Amino acid sequence: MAVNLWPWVRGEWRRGWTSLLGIVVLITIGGGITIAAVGGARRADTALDRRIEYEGWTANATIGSLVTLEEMDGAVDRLLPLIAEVPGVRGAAALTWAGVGIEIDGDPGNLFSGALGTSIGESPTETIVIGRAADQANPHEVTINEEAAAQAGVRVGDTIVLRSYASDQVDEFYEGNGAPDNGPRVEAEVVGIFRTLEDITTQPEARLTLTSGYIERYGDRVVSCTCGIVANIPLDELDQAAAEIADVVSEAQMVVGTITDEQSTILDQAVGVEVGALLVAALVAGVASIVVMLQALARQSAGRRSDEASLAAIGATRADRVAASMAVLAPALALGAIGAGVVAVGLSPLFPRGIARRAEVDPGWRFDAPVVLGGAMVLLAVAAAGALWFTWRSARRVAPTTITPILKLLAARPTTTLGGSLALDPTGDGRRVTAAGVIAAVAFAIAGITGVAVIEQSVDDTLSSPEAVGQPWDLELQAAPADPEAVVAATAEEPIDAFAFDLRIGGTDFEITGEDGTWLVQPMTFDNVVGTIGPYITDGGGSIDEGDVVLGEALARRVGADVGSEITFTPGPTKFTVTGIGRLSDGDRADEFAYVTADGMERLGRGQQPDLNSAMVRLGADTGADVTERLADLGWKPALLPAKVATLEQIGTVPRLLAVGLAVLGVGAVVHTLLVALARRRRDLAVVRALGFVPGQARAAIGWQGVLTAAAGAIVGIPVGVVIGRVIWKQVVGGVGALDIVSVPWLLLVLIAVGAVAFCAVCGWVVGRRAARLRPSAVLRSE
Amino acid sequence: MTETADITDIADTSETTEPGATPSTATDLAVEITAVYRTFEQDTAPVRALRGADLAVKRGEFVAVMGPSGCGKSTMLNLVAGLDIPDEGEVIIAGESLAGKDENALAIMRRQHIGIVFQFFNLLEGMTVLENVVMPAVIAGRKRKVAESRARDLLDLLGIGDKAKQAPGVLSGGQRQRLAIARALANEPTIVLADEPTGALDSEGGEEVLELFRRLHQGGQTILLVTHDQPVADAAERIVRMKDGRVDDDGLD
Repeated sequence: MAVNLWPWVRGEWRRGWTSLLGIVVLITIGGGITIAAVGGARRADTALDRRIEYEGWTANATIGSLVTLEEMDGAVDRLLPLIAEVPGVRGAAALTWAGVGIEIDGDPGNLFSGALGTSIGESPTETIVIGRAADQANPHEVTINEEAAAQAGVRVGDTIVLRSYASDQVDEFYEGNGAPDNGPRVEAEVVGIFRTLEDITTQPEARLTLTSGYIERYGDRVVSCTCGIVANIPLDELDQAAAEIADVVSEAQMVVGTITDEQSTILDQAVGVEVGALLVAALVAGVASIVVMLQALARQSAGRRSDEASLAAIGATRADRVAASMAVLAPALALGAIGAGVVAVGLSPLFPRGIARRAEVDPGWRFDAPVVLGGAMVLLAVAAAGALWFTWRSARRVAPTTITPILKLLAARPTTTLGGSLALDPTGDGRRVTAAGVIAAVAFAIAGITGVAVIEQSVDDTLSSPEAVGQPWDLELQAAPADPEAVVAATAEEPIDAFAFDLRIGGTDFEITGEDGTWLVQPMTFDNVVGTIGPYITDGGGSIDEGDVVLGEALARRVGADVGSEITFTPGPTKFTVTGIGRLSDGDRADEFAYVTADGMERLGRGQQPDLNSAMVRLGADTGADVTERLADLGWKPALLPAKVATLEQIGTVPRLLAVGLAVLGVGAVVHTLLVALARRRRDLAVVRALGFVPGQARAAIGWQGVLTAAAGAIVGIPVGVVIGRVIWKQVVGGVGALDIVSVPWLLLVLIAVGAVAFCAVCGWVVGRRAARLRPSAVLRSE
Repeated sequence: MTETADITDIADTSETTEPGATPSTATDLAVEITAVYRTFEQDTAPVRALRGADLAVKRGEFVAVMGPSGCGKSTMLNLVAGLDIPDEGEVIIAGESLAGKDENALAIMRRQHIGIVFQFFNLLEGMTVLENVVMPAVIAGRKRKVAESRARDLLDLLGIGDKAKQAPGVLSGGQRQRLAIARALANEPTIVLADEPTGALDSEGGEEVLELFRRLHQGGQTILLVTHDQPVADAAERIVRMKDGRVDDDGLD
């Protein structure tokens, strides 16, 4: 500053500290939420990898299904040191599978468990979430996963009975056909509950880990196989190391699988939804923060315009004035950026949510330096640029303007007139930018909240709509029953709407080729026992003849098929005619199925009988609870959503957190504007008091300012929010293959609008107390 | 208001005595201040602004209060306007004592009886010239159409009718003060209070404003003007001199 304006700067700090503090708070809250959302997305995105790295269970070499136990004999002991020497391998351990399971209600559960044996280097481990790891020398200690604990109703410290197949029950072990278990029954203490990657999925399986002491003591009496090796390899070296391991174990006909081939792919998809939701949240929060921050800075800059002439009169150039104004703002901007970083770290335990949170090894405080420091720097840069812009503009002379044309619309009462004047010109400098800024901030907050409401309603409606998810049934058999015929007979006798079997040609994917391309699909047909269960047809009709096929909407698009088109299944090749397009869950998606008739399935199988994939029951509208209970006793469980659709649940609480954040920002913007208007337009308030306003009217005028600001924000924000919500939802729902149900919660939107207006009125009423207490004689004398 | 109306017709002349006439009863007084004290607590020491001031202003009278800076002129004006409350003594406006009235009652009193003209105009810059004049009438509960009609008449009579739709910021100093006077007259007040009304104007603008006050007085408007400028005070029919928080000379002799 060529002219020493530091005294003025210090005076501004003293005079306007409340407004500057408001800017600090707004930057802190808005920036903090934005940085936290970005950090949360990054944390969610990397949670799975960090967990995998932590557990080190990244690759395994297992016996091929064509190799006999005799052929495998000694192979693991021989190969383990060789695998441990492969570059990139941090450690390896022998893996034993055994036909041992937990007894639940007197019956054996899933008779399949694992145990780690000899290890070299950093052996893979499991994440114990409750209790401790088992003493490997103790045959009577076990750890179980969360799903097993839930199924068996077992907690750490409980004693369980381990049931097992005897060593001569190899066939029963492999076939899992529910044959009686003849192996030893051993009591063991559950010392720890662990979480596997499968626990993190939406369809976890029960797991039991035995100690090597158990294998040593009972291994020769139970069916077991030390036929695998688990390797601990960093993810960035996994592909190369796995390829080398494959070479090492090829002579033993072992198959190498990596973590990235297995559950992590499914989990990545589920986590991806959350990451996307968080990034959208970060984007919305970021834009909202910038709008709020800039309009606060605009107010602050505009408020100093009255000093511009005085500063110019003492010889300050425009550059001097801008520099001085920036000096006034600099501490607020810096403190705001620091505060945002602190808030982001403070909010970090809230993220990630959903599946990613379960994947997080340590879901506590987290200081993600690149995100927090980088975010704070970006925030500071944006705030400083905005401040510079507004300060530079405010240093210009402007012609006086009035806002009467708009006020005339509000001119029913003097309090509304003055409230409108305050809302449209909070700083009293005749510029629209400040009012537009706060209305934009409120509109953005309301738009965000509205968008969240639309998306949440759409998620709820979609997940609860069988048509949307292509799942016209309520119950499924998720495991083969011990006595299938009895279950079928008992089910068919119940007063249900429909009961069918899902039949497919076992494990065979067919290539389906249309005009525009080829895709892999597992054709399906339903054998209806009671009533009819089939695809929802959105175009055309069902499949009636053996040459008819109904395709999922996405599949039809991919291969370029339409109703009446001819498509070809390979192997075969077998030609079919597309008679309809629609939605039906194939377990994964709802829009990639190929549904044929039973005769059509025979054509595809060319003599091979289709296998039972699953069975489904649709309850009637008036089916009683007693029926549901009896079906549950038979093994029927509530139908699982298609896996891809189920990822929608991973959107979880992120939208609500975003809505809360936006609401806080919006309220912050309004309160800051009310306070600024109170300070900058106190002369006008004093004048109207002198003209006859009673104190309550002055207070009401501030209330009206809040009401009108919120109303303008709602008028703009709600339609914009509905559009934003619909656009985002359309993208999300299209990605998972569910029907785009139009769900706009109008009543809730009305409540949001009324709530926003009422809340801002209350804010105005509270802030307006200061207007009511204002002493006009003192104000007018000082002015 | 007819086309031939003059500014002398726009004042509230009910119960007005002829200029210069002696009031026959106490209710003929527009303002009566008796033994008023007012002290302001400041950080350093209390400021005793008024120390037993007395003043009576008849209806229709044009009184100028003169005195040096800090003698209590503006404080007395604020007490009359009900913008401040005396520590001791009584203020009566149009026969109605302000003692014991709360903020709401004082505001309502202002609507009925008081029009204020400030030295620095204190216009509502975000509203048009017309809206500035309409505002007090609407605050007083008049219908907007009626208020607008009177406001237009006032602006015409004060010579700024063509500026009705403009922002106050584009007016000259004299025009701004004329606007302030029009606003003060909007509710046909019992008394117009003017605090150094020419203090922010050049000599030409100042003379315009004084001429307006003279014409208003001729129309029967009661005016209480505060100034430290003798030529301004000379426009009034009576000059009251204040010193050290008291009325030194009530100008009646």
